[in-house]
Amino acid sequence: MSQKPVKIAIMSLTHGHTRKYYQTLKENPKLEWVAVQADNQDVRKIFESGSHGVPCYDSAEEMFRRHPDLEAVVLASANSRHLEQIRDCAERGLHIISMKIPSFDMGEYDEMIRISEKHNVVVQVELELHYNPVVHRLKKLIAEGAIGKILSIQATNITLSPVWAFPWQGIPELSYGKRVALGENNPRFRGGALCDHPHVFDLIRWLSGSDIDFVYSQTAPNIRPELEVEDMLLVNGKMKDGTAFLLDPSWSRMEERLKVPGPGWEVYPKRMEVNLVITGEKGTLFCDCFGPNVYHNGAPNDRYTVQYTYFDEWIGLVDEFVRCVRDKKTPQINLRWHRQTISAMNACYESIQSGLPVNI
Amino acid sequence: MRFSSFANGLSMAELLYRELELCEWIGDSSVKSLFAVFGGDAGANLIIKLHNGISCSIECGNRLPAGSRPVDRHELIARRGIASDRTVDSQIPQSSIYLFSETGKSEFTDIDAELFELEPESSLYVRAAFAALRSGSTASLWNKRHSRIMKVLDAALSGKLSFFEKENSI
Repeated sequence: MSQKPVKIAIMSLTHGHTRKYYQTLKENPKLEWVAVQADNQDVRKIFESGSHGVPCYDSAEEMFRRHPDLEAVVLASANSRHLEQIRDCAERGLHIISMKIPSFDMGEYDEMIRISEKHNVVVQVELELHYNPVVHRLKKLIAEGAIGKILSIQATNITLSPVWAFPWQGIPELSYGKRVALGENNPRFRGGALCDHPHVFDLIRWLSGSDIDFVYSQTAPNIRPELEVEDMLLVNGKMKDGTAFLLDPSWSRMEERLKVPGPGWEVYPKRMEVNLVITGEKGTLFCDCFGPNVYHNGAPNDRYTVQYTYFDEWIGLVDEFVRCVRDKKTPQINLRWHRQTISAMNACYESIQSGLPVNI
Repeated sequence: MRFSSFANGLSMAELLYRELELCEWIGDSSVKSLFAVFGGDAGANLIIKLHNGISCSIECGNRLPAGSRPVDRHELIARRGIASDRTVDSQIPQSSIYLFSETGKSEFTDIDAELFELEPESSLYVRAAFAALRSGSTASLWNKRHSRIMKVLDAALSGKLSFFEKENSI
């Protein structure tokens, strides 16, 4: 039996992933996209230039008033706004798709868990790689014992920097939640590339079935010296089951400083990479989560460019969200599951600060 | 710098020795600190800081099947751009020739016409030996470098956070 479409809105429009929802919200028959709310006139203009046929409001209050039958929201906002928005939405009984970093403040994070459970609303954290077909194959191969017990994992989540299009990602208070120096003699602050890349921390937990035991992390000098947040860092450590890992969550691919992401964003030919090498007792897996791809030069900058493959993980993500809303289930990537990933990321910052490994 | 090396039939010490030496040589500085974690004797993950401030990661594994060609990568990231011995958007090294025939698929990579038929790694060993024999100072320099890399390697294999605060470039 077909279920009633979930009436959904997008709030803020300031997150880099905002535009990735447009197509799914329009085309998925399980959803009815009824409204958006813009945090500022810049993002409002960008949204309205897309002719989506959905009303855009400047205030969340007005949107809620005009759409009293709204059931769910996508919180596409700066990390610093998430608690306030989750509280407001949960108290209204609205189900929530949260961006990948609910909060780095563990007190705030636990408050989000408390509020959402008290009001019995679904909060699904947007970690879209769980709905990626390559990752599905990888998990299946591991489960079938293709390489035996996992002993070591290396994973990259390296991208260009989004700060020129989404400025809050370069402002420590908005990205990390507060201004915290990376170290005693370090002129930069928490809130950069690490905050943008939780996926690899999540993936190694999901693939190994174990939690992170300890991390060691170190920054390199920024390749964008004008940023006040980190853009280059490395992380290694061990899982509780003894699996060793090394993660690269850097913004190491240089970009054109576009205000609106689009063709020509890349200076380095490939804008984003999530690759894993997994060594097991019986073999090794090499995995590119976004490939194979198409390559071109020509417009707009005559540069050789990797037009990377979009698997549109948002379809699976939204499907699961709708199922959870209608069937009153808990999504696989919920606030409680994701808490350890956020703790591990915070531990990375502590390690950068102290120069020592940090237990989770 | 992002280095990786995956092979068959080599110990972790052999894999790490090569990458550590490349790290110091290409980075033009010596190791100041390193933190190493190991997946038994099959995988190693190192984060290194050189005395000149360069950060480097080294990823190694030795569980490729017998007969596999090594899979490695050496990528340098700087403010002006990136250099790598692997083409953009690839995971494994390319070969010069790919033969698809009735007997299956074969690959060939020949890097030295004078040492034709030797595998690339073997050609490099011969060329290195020849260079050392031609110049006594080269051999002496490499021996000193070897002593230093062995100390760094020992520290890495101890699996602990290790510091080499004193500048000791060779």
